[in-house]
Amino acid sequence: MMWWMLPAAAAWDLADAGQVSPGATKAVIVVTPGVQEQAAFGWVETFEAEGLDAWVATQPARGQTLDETVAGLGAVLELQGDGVVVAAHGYAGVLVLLSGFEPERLALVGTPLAAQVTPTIAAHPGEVVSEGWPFPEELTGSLPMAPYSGALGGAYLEWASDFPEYPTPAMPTLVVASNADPIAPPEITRLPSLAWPERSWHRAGMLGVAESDLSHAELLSDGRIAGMVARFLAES
Amino acid sequence: MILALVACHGGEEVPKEERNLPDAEHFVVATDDGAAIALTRRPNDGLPVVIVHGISSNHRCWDLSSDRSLAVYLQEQGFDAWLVDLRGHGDATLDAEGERQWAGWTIDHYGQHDIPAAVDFVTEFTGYEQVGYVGHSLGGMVGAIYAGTHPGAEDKLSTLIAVGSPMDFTDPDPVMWSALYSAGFTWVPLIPSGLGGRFAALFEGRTFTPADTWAQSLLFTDISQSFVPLMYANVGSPLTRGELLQLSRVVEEESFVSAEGSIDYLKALNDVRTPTLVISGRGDQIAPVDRVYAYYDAVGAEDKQFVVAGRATGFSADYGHLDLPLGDHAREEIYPLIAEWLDR
Repeated sequence: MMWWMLPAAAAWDLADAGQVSPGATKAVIVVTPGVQEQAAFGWVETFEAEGLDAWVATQPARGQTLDETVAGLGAVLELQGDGVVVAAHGYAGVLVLLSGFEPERLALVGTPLAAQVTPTIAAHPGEVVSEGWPFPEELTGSLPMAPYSGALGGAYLEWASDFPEYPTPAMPTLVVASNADPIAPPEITRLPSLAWPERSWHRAGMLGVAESDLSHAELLSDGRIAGMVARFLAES
Repeated sequence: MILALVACHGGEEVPKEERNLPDAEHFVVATDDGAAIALTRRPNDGLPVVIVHGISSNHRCWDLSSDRSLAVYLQEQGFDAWLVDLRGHGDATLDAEGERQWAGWTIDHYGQHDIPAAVDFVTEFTGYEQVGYVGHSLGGMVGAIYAGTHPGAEDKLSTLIAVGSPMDFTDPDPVMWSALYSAGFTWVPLIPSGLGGRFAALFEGRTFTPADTWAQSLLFTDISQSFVPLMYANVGSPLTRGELLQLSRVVEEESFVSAEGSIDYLKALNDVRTPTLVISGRGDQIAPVDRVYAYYDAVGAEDKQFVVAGRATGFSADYGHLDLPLGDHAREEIYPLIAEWLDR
């Protein structure tokens, strides 16, 4: 496993989580703060099997503000040079968009792209130290989670009602969402991305790429979604 | 063979007495193009409400049993409930001349002829100048045709309520593609989908294969199994070639357009100033929330509301397409929303 050492202020770790693959397209999986790195290992395996060189970006330190988190992520991604592709699940996709980084290709799975269209039951996951997502686990499904910054938990909650502006992705972008995902349902993923210039859309449900509507957690753990994301990223 | 089975084993519609429904008044009304619709009235002194079913369905979708009837609920709340059977559906199988009306029309005919006939008849009969309007699925879409394009509709509607009515057809999914492909079967005048439902009722709505279960969950997720046979036996009506052809055009053009393509009904909603409530179901596969949201988004009225009936918005279930009018919790969660809006 190879590690990139970055300035402490950036506070993101980037690890070559699979095999060292010289010459292969580097695919960075950005893990949402609050989710454990191991939750992304299914994607790592699938990406490597597709011939990609999978790396995992995580934010190990707590006590980060949203601005610090976004700036740090942007810095670590910029260091990867040209040709890198990026995949993100959930709120991590928002962080990528806010960073302004322009990868060769971008996959956003279960990533909200606008505020919710109606009030929801979302609540702050912990104002000092957050645990879990703003929506109850019985609606989101479960992934291995870790405590994270209460400021970030507050940002996740705020995005349900007030979404920040971000640059429209100009690169080929895959958008995947599920009717059953309260964090990023299709009305705030498919509709806001309709006008993106090179956007490919998939509904992760019984009339799409799965036989039943996938939960937010299943969007990251489901093998078919992982395969679809890997194939999309490997097209570069 | 299937027809024989239906006849021999009681897959026919269940009489209203067995559905514990109170007596209603019945009317057959001619449309201005020679067809006929049927109206079932559950009378009271309050605002008349025109209630319209969806595609391949009939008025029983909103009036199936005493505890699963928006019409009964609204009557109890003081409203004058008028259930519509669009031409060829439910009790409207005969035209104004008493001849069988099988097919030969499009979705446009519902909005341009059937709904105006219903609204005009109800206002004249009751003396009210306005009616409330409630439509499920296609019923909400034809309400948009009427509200957006019919002269004088603005004055006749007090409220427009669309329930599970899709208005966005971009990024086509398999339901929409199936409509497109089905249009290739132009030799089929109609699909007897109501018989299919009655056939399923013979097996008490049980599912035997994963495919059965999958197909059933396309339609609903929150309807007790004991109720499913009654629903299957009663709420289906044929699907016509004209409807499918128009839907195929809608998918091709990625907008709710008229059969010949000259009118964009979604755009016409921009001019609608009638207070509008749009309800969608989080578990609705036929008309997912994102496709229904376009209805709300397009309506020009300042007084409008969008509701997502799902657990993340405080409802007891993620409502499927048929859960919205008929689900186990519709009487507690959906009907009151509708009544509240009608009462504004």
